[in-house]
Amino acid sequence: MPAAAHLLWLIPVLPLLGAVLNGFLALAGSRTADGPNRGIVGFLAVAAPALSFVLVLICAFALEHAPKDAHGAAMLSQSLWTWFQVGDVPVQLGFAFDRLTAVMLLFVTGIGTLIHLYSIGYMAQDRGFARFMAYLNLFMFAMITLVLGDGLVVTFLGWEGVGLCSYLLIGFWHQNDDYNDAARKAFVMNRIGDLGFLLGAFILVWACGHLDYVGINQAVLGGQLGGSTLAAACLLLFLGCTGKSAQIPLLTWLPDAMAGPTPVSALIHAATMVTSGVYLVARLGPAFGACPDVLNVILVVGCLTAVFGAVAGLFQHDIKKALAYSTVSQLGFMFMAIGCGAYTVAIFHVFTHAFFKATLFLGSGAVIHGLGHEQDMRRMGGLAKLMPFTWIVMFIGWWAIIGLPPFAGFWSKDLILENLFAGNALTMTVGVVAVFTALLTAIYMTRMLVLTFKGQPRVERHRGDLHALPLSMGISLAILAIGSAVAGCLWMGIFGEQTAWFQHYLAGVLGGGEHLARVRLHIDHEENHTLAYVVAIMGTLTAVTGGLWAWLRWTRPQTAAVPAHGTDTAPTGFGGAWTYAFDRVYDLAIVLPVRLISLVSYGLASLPLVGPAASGTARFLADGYVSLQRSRLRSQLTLSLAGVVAILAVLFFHLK
Amino acid sequence: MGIDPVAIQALAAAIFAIGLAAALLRRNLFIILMGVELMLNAVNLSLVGFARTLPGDASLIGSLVPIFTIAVAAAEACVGLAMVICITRRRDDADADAYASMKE
Repeated sequence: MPAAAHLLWLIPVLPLLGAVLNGFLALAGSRTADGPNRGIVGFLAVAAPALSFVLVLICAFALEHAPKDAHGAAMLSQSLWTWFQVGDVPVQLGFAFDRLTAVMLLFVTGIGTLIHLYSIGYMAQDRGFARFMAYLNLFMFAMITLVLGDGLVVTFLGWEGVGLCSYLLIGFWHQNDDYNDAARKAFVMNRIGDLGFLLGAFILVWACGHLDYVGINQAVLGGQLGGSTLAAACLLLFLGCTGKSAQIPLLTWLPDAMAGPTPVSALIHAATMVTSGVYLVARLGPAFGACPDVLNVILVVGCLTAVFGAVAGLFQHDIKKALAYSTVSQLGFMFMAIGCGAYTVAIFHVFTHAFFKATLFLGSGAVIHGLGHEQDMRRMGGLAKLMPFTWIVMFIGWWAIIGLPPFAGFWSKDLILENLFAGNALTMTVGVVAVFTALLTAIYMTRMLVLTFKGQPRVERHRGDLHALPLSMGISLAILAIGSAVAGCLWMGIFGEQTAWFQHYLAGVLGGGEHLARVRLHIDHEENHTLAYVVAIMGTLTAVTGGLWAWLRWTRPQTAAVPAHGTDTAPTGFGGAWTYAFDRVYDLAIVLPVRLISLVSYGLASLPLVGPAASGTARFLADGYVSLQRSRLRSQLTLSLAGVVAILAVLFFHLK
Repeated sequence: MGIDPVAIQALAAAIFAIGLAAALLRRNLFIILMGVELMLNAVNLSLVGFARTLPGDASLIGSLVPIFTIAVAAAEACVGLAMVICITRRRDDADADAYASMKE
């Protein structure tokens, strides 16, 4: 085992240290007018994930020299101590680092560092600067733990941790009650998913006695685990993924989560946390691969979510809400890839999406910052001349997300479509819907870009009115924009002889699960160059058609009245009905029954005989105990003496 | 050396009973506190009495334990007395039954 394996624990601990130090500084500076020194806080906050990034790089290089197992996969692992023991299953606090972990951690810490840097500029005027940075660092700790955990238990620790940080950061501006509601909504909906995660883990440990990924996957490949037990466990784990990754039915929290500051939306609700569901399924690839029914469920859920998100994205007036629905839709694409057994492609889309969605979110943050917290696209327009740098950055992000070659999104989205069309009848049907969704993607993203930057300015602004873009924000934006342009190259043949370098890199980790999934789904996977070109051309044409139509449609002067600053941005009419469809479903399926039950109980309680009996019981249960409590000091003493005597008497007679 | 261990235990029990009676029956807060102290020291006495019946070093160790108890009891009495003085100053009343507002 290379020496780098002993460094694994430092990767999550460094951001934790940053969080503790910044939390301490935030508390220490809470009495001062301006809070602690922003230079120190900002330095600590950026240095911690940056050092983690360096450590991940070191580990990734060390991994190449680590001994390989039968599938050609190497792994660095470190077991710190036995955390607890369930029956005869000891649960280690352990970390495992293989190539999948390397890919995930490289972009989590890399993009994370850039977003920390961006936050220094974005949050500079905020009184809660140190608290914000502490939360962000804490999030990095939790996210790294999630990815680095060697089993479901350690991952669950991170899984809950990212949920907590998401809650803290959505409600960061807690003076606003709507934001607090959004934070609570995210937390509660994630708890529902977490219950699925826990139940799935319980079934797995009951059925095969393993909680670590290697053990579970080997039990599946060895045939000790399978059938309906495994399917139930996987379905429950997927419920956890729908909560964390905002899929149907647990998706409405993500658009509401845009209440948080924009760097939070970019880091947590676009690039990293929401993709952890995809990561979990890929990590348990063989287990999910052995359950074709579950994969079909994932495929259909991903497809429906992608369509829903894309249509809802069309109607948003808030620039961040449009991007949030776009994230929901893109996550649906990732789950479609999972559903047809193409785990590597799903992870590749996670990887490229992290770049271009972070770019788009941070670009929108630059717009919001420049306009002084204006998020309503109806009050924008023509900003390209006023903010040329942000315009270029957003343009690159837009180019990448709608899937135009040669930028990142083209490669990953194209691969998803290709895998769908190379599959069975169900995946091909889904593939047709996916192409339609890609068309919608091009339309709503172009609409967002054009409404913001092109056309006639709907509110008169001059260059002097805008807040200047701080250097820290500019640097992060530039690097991320370059990333969204070139990240797709990892699948091209420019790294040595290998085409599809990314796939080759992950083959040892994900290949086994992919193979099993394809066998069970009856998909013959072979290289089909004709199909690849057909899909590439079709995808590009779709993007061009949608993009052009939307560009022409929304550059025309808008006839609708420009609302005042601070007007409610919620869509109305069909758009509103569509956007809030799932909120209505929750109302009907959960809120209404609960109300009905309470109404019935209330009615019962007012009946002549039942009511007093029920309320009497309730009163005794609640207050009856209080009547046993004594208020006088001497009565208390007497009672405690009686208690001691009683215990002694019991002990005395018991021992006899 | 000639004291009967049973006599020591009887004395300790008597002191404990006196302390208990004072704590339970008297209403003055200061007397209650004194009763509590009496009970505590009765237990110390009982401990030393038992320790004397042990052979050699064990006897010595047993006799040492009450030293610690006394130290802790001193601290406890300090805090307890301070609290009693505080609340009696506030209401100008040392009657324990007057302080029955905990249960509302």
